[in-house]
Amino acid sequence: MSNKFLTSKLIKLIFAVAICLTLVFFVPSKFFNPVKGFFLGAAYPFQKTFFIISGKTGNFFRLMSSISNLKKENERLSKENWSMAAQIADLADQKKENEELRKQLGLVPRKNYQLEAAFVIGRDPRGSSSWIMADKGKSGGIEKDMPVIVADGILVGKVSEVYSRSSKITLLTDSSSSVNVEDSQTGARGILSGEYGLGITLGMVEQADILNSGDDIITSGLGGSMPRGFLIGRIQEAGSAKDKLFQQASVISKIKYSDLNVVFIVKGKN
Amino acid sequence: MYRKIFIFLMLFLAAILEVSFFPNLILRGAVPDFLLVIFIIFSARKKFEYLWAWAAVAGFILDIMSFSPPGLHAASFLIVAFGIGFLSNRFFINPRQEAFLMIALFVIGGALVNYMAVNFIFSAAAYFSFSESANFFRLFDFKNIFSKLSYDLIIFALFYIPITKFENVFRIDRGKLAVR
Repeated sequence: MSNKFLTSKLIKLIFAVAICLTLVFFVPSKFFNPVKGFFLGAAYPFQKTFFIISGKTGNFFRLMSSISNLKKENERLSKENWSMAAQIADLADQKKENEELRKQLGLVPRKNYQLEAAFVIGRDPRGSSSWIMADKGKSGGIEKDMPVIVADGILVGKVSEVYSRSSKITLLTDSSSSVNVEDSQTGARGILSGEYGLGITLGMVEQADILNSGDDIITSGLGGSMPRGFLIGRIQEAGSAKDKLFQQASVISKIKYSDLNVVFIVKGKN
Repeated sequence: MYRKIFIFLMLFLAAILEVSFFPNLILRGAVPDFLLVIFIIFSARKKFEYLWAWAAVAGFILDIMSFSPPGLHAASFLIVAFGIGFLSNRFFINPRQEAFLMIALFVIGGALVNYMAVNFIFSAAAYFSFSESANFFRLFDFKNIFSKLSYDLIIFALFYIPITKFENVFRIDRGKLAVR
């Protein structure tokens, strides 16, 4: 009976799955980096082309699905256009004020850093918004652990793997992401970590510190891996952690990670 | 030799599309299992003895392209291939039997098994490596599963005929490798 159950096919399956699980649990992922480098190098031109095509195709489908709203949207945009014309004159003053405020809050002046623009050419196919792939790699001077921001100077992640012409960027929402941050208004410090691609949580904040809903969270610069002053998001809700020893808060990023198409990799100071 | 190279390139291209084309296109956060669906269409009516190596290769390619731990999708694809070989043995006895609906069911079953296996293994790896709160309950994200299965069936409907037509390119001796 047992011989009938343990057919050669089943034995082959068990053996093959066991090898795969051994690779998953016991072999470090970087062991396969040369193989990854080869495949990603071969795939690079196709990835970039497909990503651009899919962006345009996706926009077409989104447009089709929103046709019924186009008339209302058109009227709304016309009104908005008139009011924006009046606002243009105020923008010069607001820019000056913005720079002054950034200086006061200790946010990073963007001009002080050498930025490398990169297009996104791949995303996590599990749909978890944990990582993206950028079209810049070693040949573009990219190195591991470089911070990655978007045009507004908002931190979205850091470079975790680098290949010859592409690199993997681990987003702040990934569960392996961990950044030293502080509350820009109260100075409370903690560690920001990702929640399986779904959100970001500020934790390990001392009970004596103050966290208020609506406060901006910025990088603290502690540990040296990330410069101080990159804006991350805003506190949504603060409370005690399960162990009651520390406070924690959910943080809302200003960026929708699924919409990222262009990012800037911070290569160093000017 | 050329047949094997062609199949390998087809799987590689499918992996590239799964990572670079569909995530940017699809709404509601679900991405179709393009490589898995292509593999299931290709492997229906074939024996596990032929499939297991291609299952491991296809899964490994997807692991490389999606930055997953190597072996993760390979293990899942092997389990799916075994299931397909097992069910083919029982349902494709009559060569004239309608295959489209049967393979569609394989796609649904394979996608479900793949989804749960990948999430379970990934959560277990996360639990043992860096996170004490690995979320095993992602196995039961039904809204995401429903969207994913819908997209998988659409992909299947679009690619079933082209791939079965191209089977002549593979020059597979059905007498040797097909399920009787």
